[in-house]
Amino acid sequence: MASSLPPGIDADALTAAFERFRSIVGSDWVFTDDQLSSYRDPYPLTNDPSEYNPSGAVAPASADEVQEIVKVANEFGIPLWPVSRGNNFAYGGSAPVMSGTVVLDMNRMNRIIEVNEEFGYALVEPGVSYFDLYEYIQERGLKLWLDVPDPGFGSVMGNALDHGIGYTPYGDHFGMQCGMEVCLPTGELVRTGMGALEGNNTWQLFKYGYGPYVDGIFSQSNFGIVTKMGIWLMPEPAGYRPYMISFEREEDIEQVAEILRPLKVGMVIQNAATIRNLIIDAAVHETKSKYYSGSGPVPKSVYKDIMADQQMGMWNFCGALYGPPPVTDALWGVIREAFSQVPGAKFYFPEDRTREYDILLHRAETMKGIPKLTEFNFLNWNGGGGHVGFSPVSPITGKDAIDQYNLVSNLVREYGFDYMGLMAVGWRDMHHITVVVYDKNDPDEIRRMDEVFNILVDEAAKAGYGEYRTHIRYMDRIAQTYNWNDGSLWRMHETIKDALDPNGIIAPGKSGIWPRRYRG
Amino acid sequence: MSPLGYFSNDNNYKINGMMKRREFLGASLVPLLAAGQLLASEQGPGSTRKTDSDYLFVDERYMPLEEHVRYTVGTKAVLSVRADVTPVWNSTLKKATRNASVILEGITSESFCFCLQKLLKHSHTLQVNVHRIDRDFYVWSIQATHNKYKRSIV
Repeated sequence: MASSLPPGIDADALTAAFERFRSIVGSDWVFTDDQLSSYRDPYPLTNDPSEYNPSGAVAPASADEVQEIVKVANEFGIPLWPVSRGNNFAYGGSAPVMSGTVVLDMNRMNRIIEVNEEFGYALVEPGVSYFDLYEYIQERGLKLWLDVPDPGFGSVMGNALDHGIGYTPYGDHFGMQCGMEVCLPTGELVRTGMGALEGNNTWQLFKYGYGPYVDGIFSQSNFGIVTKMGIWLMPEPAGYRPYMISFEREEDIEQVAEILRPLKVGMVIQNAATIRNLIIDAAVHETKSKYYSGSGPVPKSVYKDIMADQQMGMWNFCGALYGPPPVTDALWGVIREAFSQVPGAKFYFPEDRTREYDILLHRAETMKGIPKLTEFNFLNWNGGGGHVGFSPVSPITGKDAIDQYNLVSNLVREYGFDYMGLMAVGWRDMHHITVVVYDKNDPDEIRRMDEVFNILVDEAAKAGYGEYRTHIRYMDRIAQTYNWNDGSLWRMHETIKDALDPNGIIAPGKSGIWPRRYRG
Repeated sequence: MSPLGYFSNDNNYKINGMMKRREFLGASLVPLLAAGQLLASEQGPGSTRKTDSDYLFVDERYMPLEEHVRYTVGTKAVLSVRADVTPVWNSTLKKATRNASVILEGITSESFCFCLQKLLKHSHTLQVNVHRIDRDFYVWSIQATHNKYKRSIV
C-alpha cells in the first residue's frame, strides 16, 4: 500500500529529508514504500489502511546518529516515531499514531554495554531484547535473573518505558529502571540521575541524583528519545518454587482478591503474581475448536469440560517462592492456609501436573525470568490471530475484582468475544489485563472490536478505572479520561511538550500528548 | 493452476466438517510441502527460491508425527511442533539461521508463523506466503535471505 505524507509536508521536502537521513545512516537503513510492511500494525483495529501509516523508517546505529536524525527532522519539520524493537504488538507494534510520521527504528542499537553481577544491573541500548540479555547472562554464567514480560523478543528498554510488567519480584519494570541517556527533541544528549555527574560510578545504583527526578517524563511520552537505560537485575535466589492455586467458580475472584491483598502488601507473596482466567490459559495450549464448534464466545456450560481437560480452575493463581527452603516453606504455609478458606481451592506444584503442555509448567519458566514466546499461542484460540489489550487499574479488593470482571466480561461476550483476562498483582494495585482476541482479517470483527473497546474505556472510567497502557488507536480517548480539574495534567504535559519540542518532532499523539503544531 | 487452488482461501470453511476436511488436506498438503511444490508457484518473477525448503514444520495437532514422517522422511528436516515457536527456535533455528539464508515451510497455527517472522526480521529479508486452510491452521512459506547489513542474531 502507498505510504502517507506527514501533515503539512510535501513530497519534495520528505524526499529531501530522506536523502539527508541516508547520508547519516547509509542508504540501506532508510526504508520507504514497499519496505514498510513491518512498520505497520500487524493487528489493526481499523478497516482504513490509511490510518497509522508511516511515510518511511530510518534505523540509526548509535546515539550520535539519533542526534543527527533529530536535527534534520527539526530542519524539515518531519515527525519521528521512536521504537526500540517495535514488538509492542497488542498496542500497535511500530506503527505511529499520526499517519506520515517516520518510524525511528532503534533495533540496530543493540549493545549490552555492561552487566554487573556484583550490584545486579545492566546498561543496555534500545535494540536489546530479553532473549539477547538472557543469552548474554547465560553464556557468561552470571548469577543474575531477568524479569521478562510474555514476549521474549521485546525490548528490555522499550517494555520498561511503556510500563510493562513481568512475573518475578522485579516485575515492575519501570520501577527497576535506573539511569537514562536521552536525546532531547533539539538533538542534545542528557544523562539522568547520577549520570549527569562527570566521572560518576553510581549511574545504575542510585536513581535520583540531585535535583528534580525526571526519568518518569521520558516513559510513555514524547519528550525525548531514550538511547541508553539501566535496569536492575535480580540476584539468583537460593531456592525457587513455583506454584498454582486453582479456584472453581467465577465469583471466587472476589474472595481471592480479599485474601490476596494483605499477603501482597505484607510481602508474603513475593512476586508479581497473576490471577488468571480459565480461557486465557486454556488458549495457550489448545484452540477453541477442541471444545466448541459454534460461533461467538464459549458457552459457560462448556467451562467445566475445559477445566477438567486442562486441570485448571475458573481462576488460577500463579505465584512463586524465592529464597532458601526454610524461608519459602514458611511463606508457603501462610499462603496455603490463607487460600484454603476458598471452597474447592486446589494447590499445585509443577510435579503435581500431568499434562505435557501445562500452564504451570509454562509459568514456572516466566516466573524465573526465562524469555519465551509461548503466550502468543492464545492468539490461535479462534484462529484469526489478532489481539488487543484492555488494561484498567484497580485496587486489590474483592469488590473491585468482581466489578471489573463483570463489567469487562459481560461487554466482550455481548460483542461476540471470549473474556480472556488476568489480574496482575502489583505492590498495591491490580492491572486487570484483558486480551480480546479477534480475527485480524475479518472486517466485521475489527469493527466490533473497535466499538466494544471504546465502550470499555468509557464504562471503566465512569466506574473510576483508568488504563495504564494502550494501543495507539485509543491513546487520545484514554488521555481524555484522565480529566481531573478539567484535564490539568494533560495541559501540563502539553506545556512540557511545547517547551522541550517546539517543532513538534517527537511522536505526535503519543499517550494523547500533541505538540502545539498539531493541536486543534 | 496453483497447487493452492484446491482449497479455499476465503475462510468459508465449514467448522462442522472440519476434521474430515483436515484429514483430507493433511494427506494432500504435507507431501506437496515436502516435495517443495506447494508454494513454489507463489514466488514472483526472478525469484531465487529453491524448490525445496530447509525445514518443514507440521503442527502435531494437524497431523501426528508418525503420519507426516511417512510422507516426508528423507527429503528434508521435518519438525513436529505445537503452537509455540520458542523450543524449536532455541534448539535449532537460532543457530541454523545465524548468518545463513533458509527456506522454511509449515502447516501450523498462525502464531507460530507470525513469531518466526518477527524473530527473523532483524537479520533477514523475508518473502512470506501464508494461506489459511481451516479454522486453526495455516500453510505457509518463509524465504529468509540473510542480510549482512542487518544486525546479526545475538
